[in-house]
Amino acid sequence: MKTRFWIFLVIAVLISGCASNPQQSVALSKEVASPQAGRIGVVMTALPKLDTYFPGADCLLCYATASAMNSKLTAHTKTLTYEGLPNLKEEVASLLRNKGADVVVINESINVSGLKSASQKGENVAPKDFTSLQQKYGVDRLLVIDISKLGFIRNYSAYIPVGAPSAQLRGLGYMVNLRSNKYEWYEEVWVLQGAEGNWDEPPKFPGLTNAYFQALEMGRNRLLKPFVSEQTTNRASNTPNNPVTVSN
Amino acid sequence: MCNWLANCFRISVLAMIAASACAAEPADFSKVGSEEKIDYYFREPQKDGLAYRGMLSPYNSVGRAGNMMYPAPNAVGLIAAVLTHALIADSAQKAAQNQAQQEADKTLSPYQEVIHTINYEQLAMRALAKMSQNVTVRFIDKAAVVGNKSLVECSLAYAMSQDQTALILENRMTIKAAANDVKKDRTLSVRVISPSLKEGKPEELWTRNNGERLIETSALLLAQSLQIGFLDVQNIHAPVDDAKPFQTVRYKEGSDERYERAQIVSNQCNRVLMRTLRGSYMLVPASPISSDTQEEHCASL
Repeated sequence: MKTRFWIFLVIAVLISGCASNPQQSVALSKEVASPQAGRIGVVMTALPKLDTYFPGADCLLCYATASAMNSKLTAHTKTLTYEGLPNLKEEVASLLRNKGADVVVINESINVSGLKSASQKGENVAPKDFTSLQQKYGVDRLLVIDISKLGFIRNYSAYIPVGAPSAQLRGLGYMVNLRSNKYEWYEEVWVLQGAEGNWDEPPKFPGLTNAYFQALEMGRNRLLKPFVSEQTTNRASNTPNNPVTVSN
Repeated sequence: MCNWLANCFRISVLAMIAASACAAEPADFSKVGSEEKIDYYFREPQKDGLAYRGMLSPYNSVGRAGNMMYPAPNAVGLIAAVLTHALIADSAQKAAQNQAQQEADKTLSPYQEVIHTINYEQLAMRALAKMSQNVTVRFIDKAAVVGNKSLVECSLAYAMSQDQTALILENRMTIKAAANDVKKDRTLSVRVISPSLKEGKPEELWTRNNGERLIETSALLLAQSLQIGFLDVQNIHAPVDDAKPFQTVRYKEGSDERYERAQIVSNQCNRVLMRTLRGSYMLVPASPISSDTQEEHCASL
């Protein structure tokens, strides 16, 4: 009986150790985008390579089958462009300047995973330590646009696709106070957009190509929206981290 | 008895001759002379002529990824299990699509009474009255014979925007060139979206006066789509210069903003005509909508 109790306790500790609270959205407050907010640096991570993703095709043979089935789409994906995505930081900076903020655009890409882990943890505290960047860039706050996935996603159940491919844009936008290392704006963006009508139109896949550029626009809109509209609340909203079925 | 039967036979033969004389013969336009200049004969296709449907959300589901354990005692068993799984997944996807369309169709329920009164000929005649004088089109019966004349058949699918303030027409046109014409037969798709209603309740506005606005807008969209189709065939728009860059065009569908990767053909009076990646045309309200003053100026054109 005693042994069972200890086994149960060890398992419970291990499971709770694996659990982590996902960062909730933090709405942009009026104060942090104002002339009194100090200097804001706007930076982007390096844009990811355009690719195809097959979640659910988990076994090695399943993934090989999914890759082979979608090889023409993967080849086409490599030919697509980022369109205006690299200019997103300039667009954000311009909107912040319209609000009277002192903004500097940082030309180099930031490698967030290369930063050391933050020593303090807590609500809305960034897991990485951004404070060292205050000196490096000469700014008080850092606004980061981090696009992590671009291209097409097709869900699988082992060998079998469970739907048509969709264009995908996944990323984050956040602003970190470089004194407190706390998020003062945090938004996860996950746009999935399917082709209208038939999708399987190799070699140029016009329906999916159109969906890809639609996804870019929707993702861009989502990231720019807080700086366009007047969102003045300080409370963190509890937006679920689900893929968008974006409402424009 | 024999005389009686003979009389019956004579009467029935005479009746058959009379009936066949009364039956309407399909009109024959193949022998119409060159003195009457008709650029195109226009008729309803044999099937899928006219439909009003709900607008499916452009943000469709992608299905959920999942794991699957196959009962596979041997290779044949594994293949059978995978094929069965594929069949089940396929039918589940089709069922989900059908359900989505049924849900979308519910948005049209306030308009069903008007929609039932609309017929193809009524829309066609109104549309032809709205078309420019540059092209002469005659609407003909489904069964009419046109011989080697230029003929256009349009499959019309109307939808209402999700906020019910705009009407959308998807016109799939088949244009058959006349025998002596160097132009080739052509099939093209033209989508036209009306400007959104700005005042009042959409349901009231569309259905008022026996649905006059719904019928009139349907006819106007048809006229505009025909015009684009004819201009394409006459090479006034097409071929659009392939070197012309594709760009993401923002436009309005009701109050929603939409995007399309396309080549812009023209952009006048808040109406953008573009050619999409699939080679079809779209005539849509530009986004953002400009001032009313400009709209008034354009309305007078």
